[in-house]
Amino acid sequence: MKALKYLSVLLVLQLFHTSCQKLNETIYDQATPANAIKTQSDVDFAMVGVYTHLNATPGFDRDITWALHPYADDISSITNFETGTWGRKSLLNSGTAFANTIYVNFYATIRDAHGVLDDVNRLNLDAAYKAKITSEVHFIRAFCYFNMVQLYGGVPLVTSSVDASSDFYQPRASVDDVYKLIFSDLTDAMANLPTRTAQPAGEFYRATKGAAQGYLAKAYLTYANYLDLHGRSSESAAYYQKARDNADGVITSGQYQLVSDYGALWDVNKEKSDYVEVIFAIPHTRDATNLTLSGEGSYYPAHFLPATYPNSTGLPTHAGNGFMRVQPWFFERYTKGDYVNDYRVEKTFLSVWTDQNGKRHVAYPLPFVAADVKEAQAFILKYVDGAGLSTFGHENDLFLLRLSEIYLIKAEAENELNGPDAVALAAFNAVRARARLANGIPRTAPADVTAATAGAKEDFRMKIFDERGLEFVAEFNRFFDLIRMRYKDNTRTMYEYQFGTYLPSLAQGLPKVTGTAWKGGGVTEASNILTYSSRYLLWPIPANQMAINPKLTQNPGW
Amino acid sequence: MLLICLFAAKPMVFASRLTTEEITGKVVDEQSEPMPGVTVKIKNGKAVTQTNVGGIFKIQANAGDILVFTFTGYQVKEVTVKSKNIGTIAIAPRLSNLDEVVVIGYGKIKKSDLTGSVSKFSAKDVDQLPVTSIDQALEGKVAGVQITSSSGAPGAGLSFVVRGGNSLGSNQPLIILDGYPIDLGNGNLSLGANADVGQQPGVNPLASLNPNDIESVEVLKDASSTAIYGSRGANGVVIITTKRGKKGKDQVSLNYRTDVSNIRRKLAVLNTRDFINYANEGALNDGIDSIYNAAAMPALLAVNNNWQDQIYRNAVSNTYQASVSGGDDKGQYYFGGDYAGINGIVINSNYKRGGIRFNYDRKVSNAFNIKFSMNASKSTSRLGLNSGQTGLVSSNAIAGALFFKPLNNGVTADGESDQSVVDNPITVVNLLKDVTESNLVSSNLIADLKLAKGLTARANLGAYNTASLRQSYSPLGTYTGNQVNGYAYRAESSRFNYLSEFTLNYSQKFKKHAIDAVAGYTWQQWDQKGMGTSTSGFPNDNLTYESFQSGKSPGTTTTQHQQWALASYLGRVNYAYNDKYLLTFSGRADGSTRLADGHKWSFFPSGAFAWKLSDEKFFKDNIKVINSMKLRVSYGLSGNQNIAVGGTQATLGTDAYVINGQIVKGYTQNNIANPVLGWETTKAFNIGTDISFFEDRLQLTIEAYRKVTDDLLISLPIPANTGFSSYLTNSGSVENKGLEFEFSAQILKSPISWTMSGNISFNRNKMLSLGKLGDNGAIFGPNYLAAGSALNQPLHIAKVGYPVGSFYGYRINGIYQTAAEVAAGPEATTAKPGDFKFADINGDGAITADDRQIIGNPNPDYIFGWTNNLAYKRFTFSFFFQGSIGNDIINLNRYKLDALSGNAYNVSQAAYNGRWTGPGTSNTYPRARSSAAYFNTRFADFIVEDGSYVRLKTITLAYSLPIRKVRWMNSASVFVTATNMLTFTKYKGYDPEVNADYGNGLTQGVDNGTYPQSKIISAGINIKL
Repeated sequence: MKALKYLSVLLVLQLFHTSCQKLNETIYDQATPANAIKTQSDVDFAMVGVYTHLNATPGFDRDITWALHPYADDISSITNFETGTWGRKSLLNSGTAFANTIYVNFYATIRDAHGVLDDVNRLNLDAAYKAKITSEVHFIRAFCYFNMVQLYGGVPLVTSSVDASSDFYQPRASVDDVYKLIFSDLTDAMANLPTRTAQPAGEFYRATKGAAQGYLAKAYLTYANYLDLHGRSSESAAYYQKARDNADGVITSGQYQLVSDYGALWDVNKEKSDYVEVIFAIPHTRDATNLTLSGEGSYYPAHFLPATYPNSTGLPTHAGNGFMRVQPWFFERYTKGDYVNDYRVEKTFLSVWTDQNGKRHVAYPLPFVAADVKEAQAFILKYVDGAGLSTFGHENDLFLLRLSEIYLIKAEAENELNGPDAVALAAFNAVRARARLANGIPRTAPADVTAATAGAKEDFRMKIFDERGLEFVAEFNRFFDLIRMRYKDNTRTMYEYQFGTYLPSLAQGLPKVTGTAWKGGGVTEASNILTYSSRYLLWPIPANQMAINPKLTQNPGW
Repeated sequence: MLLICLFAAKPMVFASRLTTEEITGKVVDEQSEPMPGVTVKIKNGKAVTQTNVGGIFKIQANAGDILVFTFTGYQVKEVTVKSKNIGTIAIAPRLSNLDEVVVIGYGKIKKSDLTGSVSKFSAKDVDQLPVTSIDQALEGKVAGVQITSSSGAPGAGLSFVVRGGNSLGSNQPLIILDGYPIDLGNGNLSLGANADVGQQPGVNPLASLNPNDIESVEVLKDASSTAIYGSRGANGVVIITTKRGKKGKDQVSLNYRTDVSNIRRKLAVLNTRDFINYANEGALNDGIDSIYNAAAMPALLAVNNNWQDQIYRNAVSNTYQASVSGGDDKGQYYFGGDYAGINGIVINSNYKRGGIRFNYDRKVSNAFNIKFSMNASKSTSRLGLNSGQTGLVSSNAIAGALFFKPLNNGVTADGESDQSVVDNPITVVNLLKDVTESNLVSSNLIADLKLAKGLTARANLGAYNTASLRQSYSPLGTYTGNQVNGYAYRAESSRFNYLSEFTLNYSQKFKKHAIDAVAGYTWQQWDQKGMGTSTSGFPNDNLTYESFQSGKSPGTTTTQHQQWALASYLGRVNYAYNDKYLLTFSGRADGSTRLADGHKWSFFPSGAFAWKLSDEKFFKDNIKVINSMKLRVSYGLSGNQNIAVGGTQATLGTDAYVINGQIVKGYTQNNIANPVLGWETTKAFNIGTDISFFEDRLQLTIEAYRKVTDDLLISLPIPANTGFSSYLTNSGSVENKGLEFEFSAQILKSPISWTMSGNISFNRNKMLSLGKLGDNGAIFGPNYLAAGSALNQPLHIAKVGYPVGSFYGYRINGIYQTAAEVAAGPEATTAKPGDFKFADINGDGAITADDRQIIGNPNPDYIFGWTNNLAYKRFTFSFFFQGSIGNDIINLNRYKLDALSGNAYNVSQAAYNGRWTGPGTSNTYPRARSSAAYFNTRFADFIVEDGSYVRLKTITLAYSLPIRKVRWMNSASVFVTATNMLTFTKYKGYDPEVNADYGNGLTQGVDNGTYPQSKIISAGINIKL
């Protein structure tokens, strides 16, 4: 009966236990908006969360850059770099993973931006702070939609947070409506974001007023191009004007100036001082806490530099993988004409170098001696970091918008409006003038373009195209320039001209050395090039998005 | 009826009455071995005794008394006393299992009184099989239970599916160990790990239990049996009962087994000469210069390495068991200890387990009994480094050994791993270390207190604690190690749960009415804490993961802490009328912390009816060949509660950005809150019959069922414009319906005894609805061969009208033979003669993602098992066939091996020999190419294969040694077992028993660099003292 006593105690305990146990859920290891975002500084952390998507793997940290470089005509990926094959058009279809990851990542960025709007609206914060954060959210949102509208065309427009009661299934908005939102968001962003010099150090790398206005100029120009290409030239002039005026607004703001030494832009040790010219960038740092792809370092040196270029990367070998290379024809173009002896060519392309064993390497089409190692393709020299910590652990930032581009936007918009007049030439030549400063020992090349050498409006447009090609190689511009700009016949995109006419006219295959000269072969790396098709002007809407949202329509040809 | 007959016979027995004296005798089994512990009773008398270790008994009896010999699992034998020594009595195992006791949820029941569908597996002779965990021994033995080894790695997990998968998530059944719902899983041992390390499959948690401590396993299949487990019952319930001490003399049992394993077959890949030829031909076909030129040939040909020879071995494993058990009227105990050192067929892969179990039963008083069970074990496994979904060779020696070119030796001139060949399989198996340790301590106490006649209160209190540690190091020479100069990873996880359960049992008979009822309350609470951390940038690889402080780049540490609880009220009533009509009602109300407020409770009821048809007069009078027959029918609800902690709430994650040169963490959103999230519910209907023919010599069970699972817990893919890819919600339904047959038969009795048993199960799985996604919607499985392996596509789909996890991809209709054929096809601008001819399913003149369709089904048409046991004198012989027919397997290894694309990796001999070299040369394999774009990065039916197989799973010969003269020994037997000796299959991979991603209903049937099954010869000895 002693046992009975014990058991009755247990039963009583159990009854007590039953009445006391609550089924409330406690989450210990994750924050929730209600318990984690309470003050202004918490909102700042939420705002940083928005930016984290920009250098996430599906963002500019990998997928966008891996996908877009070989998709354009200036850079190719080697065949046994399996991921490089992602960017090959021959393999791109709507089911290709990165078509989706990039799309998803932009919307995730917008989602968190809207979350920050919810936070500032929920909390009782200072009105000025609230206005600034709202402007920053609008900047990010416009940045995302601007990239998406260029890649995918009109996409579903979401302008506030989504919860369980929202309609998840949104149709694609028109291209016009997407731009309308971009313009109004960026205009608002200009109103309340700090200027570069007024931005607190603790916010450095976040958006500024200059970034908003710079992107506004770029978006106006792109939209005007779009109107021209879609038989709506009568509407385009107003947007060229806005592009020119906003570009001018950035130039005359007194906030930015061109770095005198173009080479300094690509010196990791001088990176911070480059931000007098750099308007918006994806920052990277040698992230000792995470040496992998998901860390905050960049991978560019690893993939752009060859294994034979010592002390240039953070790989265990301190050389690169050489997965991404310059198309031979592209490097050749900048060894001729206006660009002979252009300082930028030396600082942009790795074309002559000495390897670990003291052997000299020379890339097509440069002259060589018999003892040299002959390289069919040059490499990109913009991203070098011998002090990098790992394949993915480099310091090199990705500059997305620099003042030199603002000058070229101004030149291009003005040229489209009024031809190569003095305003257009002055803006264009500002970029060339900086190039001539070289490393402090001024050069004569590249010469200014004058009214005499500019040619017609269409000719000057081609000069701008080539100038942009060199100035911004491997800076995430070439593909967009190709689909945005018109060839001089005014009927085709540069993309169509390059892939449909120009590249097929070149002999196929990589150049080779026969005897003492570059011979045979041609000037394209054929396996990266594919016959032109109009479908390549837009990316496919991802197949899995099509599968789950019946309101989406596919882009032509995919 | 029977009773009356016996009473009637009584006077005749007592016709010649003698004085009481001591009668002796000896009881032996069918093999003439002494049987200890047999109860010997005088019929209708009071005297009772048990045989001793030598099988000898002594009892006070009169001549003419009838002695009744009973022993669990044996036929009752009656012998009339004629002389003082009645000599040797042989008793035989029972043929019928109808009066055996079956363990069910919160109770036990005689099989003949069962109304639900429960299969019992007796774990006898498991020690003769090379199994690491009890679920391996169950494969093919139980109807309706599909068990597929995920891989052949020692200690690897198994897919354990009862009557088809209900869920798109995990379909593992609930496991009850000695009345305690146990927690499967080691926690997250890849928290914060980089992709390669994070991808490794885990260890089977059931491997922590010594299979030889297990007495029996019951599988509860229908809703009537599982509803009492409520929200956890829908995938079936597996009740494991461990061995307990028996009254009688203490008994010591010692077992030893050794297993020798080797790879069943190697796959043919190219030698150096063929590979060079292939690579150069590929380059030529693409207008590129030869990869290998003539001048270099002699040096190249000097090396010809088949990597498979380098990583596989004959592995020897040893298992040692000891147990001591015994007891008296007041207490019984069982003490077991074991050590198993299992070596895998891949160099350095192994699994080691040591453990002890202590089970103790004590009758404290007439009214109060306790049962205590305790288990402690430690296991260590060094993974065989097989597949992750990414399929990267850096962490997969199995794939690496197939893919690496024959041109390289794995080792340098001084015999070290050649780390200059990145991801060299020799480096991966020798230098890459990935070791997981698991400690398990569990105990529970069941206390029974008799409150009144038929009324018992029971308390079941216990705790279950696992602690796991994973340590991994990727050295230079592996992809990961090279990226970051050596990468060390460490994860720890501790999981604790406790149970506090109180039930009342009531069992009573009133004339023709019998009632057996149980009702109670339980509370179970879990707490899980985990951590993952890494460091990289090591000066060298010498100290591996043992010294994080020598790495210069400490990584981010990720921690996890989750707590959840389940409160339940449960009840069941069994009612029998006249022992012919049986009714069962049961139900459970579960309240969970994991559901949102206002939705926390759900109720799962069930009902069943059974009719012992053969007890009816009309049946007895008319049907003689059938000696017993029961019809059963049941219907009920059960649930599946796979919702993560926090699943109903919006939570924030963190990620980093660089602000002003500093790394700053910011908040990002994880999910959309779903405040109405609930369990998925399975409604199951079951009808069955148990029939016994020819005086129990043939027994048959037939079952038919239909289950519909509604409100599937799915991660509903939602448009990306929401900012999220998916939304955890209840949507859609899945149907499983099937037929099961189980039989056992006594073919011969003597002098050769031959019993046979078998089962065959047919299940059809179908997605009935995708709810909010609509009938044209689809849910895809994860992407495979991500990162550097370039497929990056889902392989599986859930689509209305098709089985869950059907394979989804492109079709290939042979090879383009001519340029004209290419020009007329959908890939006129990209294809060349000799390339795969992808089918333009939708006829739009292009190959796009819309040309994908369902190209395979991982579910078998049927599965079966067939066991034969023969005994002759001292020999027993058994063989067991098992098979799966009609299931498809995605042989992902062939994505690289058979595409003849690029020279990064080796290719299969079959593809090379059969390649296209001009019009008409092949319509199967393509031309050689130089680009690594395998199958144009499309998942095609080309690599989907029929995975049907029939295999002689085990064959065992045992011999019981004649040791009658060895006084200190009771019995000794030796045995030899051969496993996987004969396999009939058309599958081209290593082995058709493969299921790399077994943990999820959507990812079945994949072979992706998966550790192959081995052929095993085992031998051992069992001794009883």
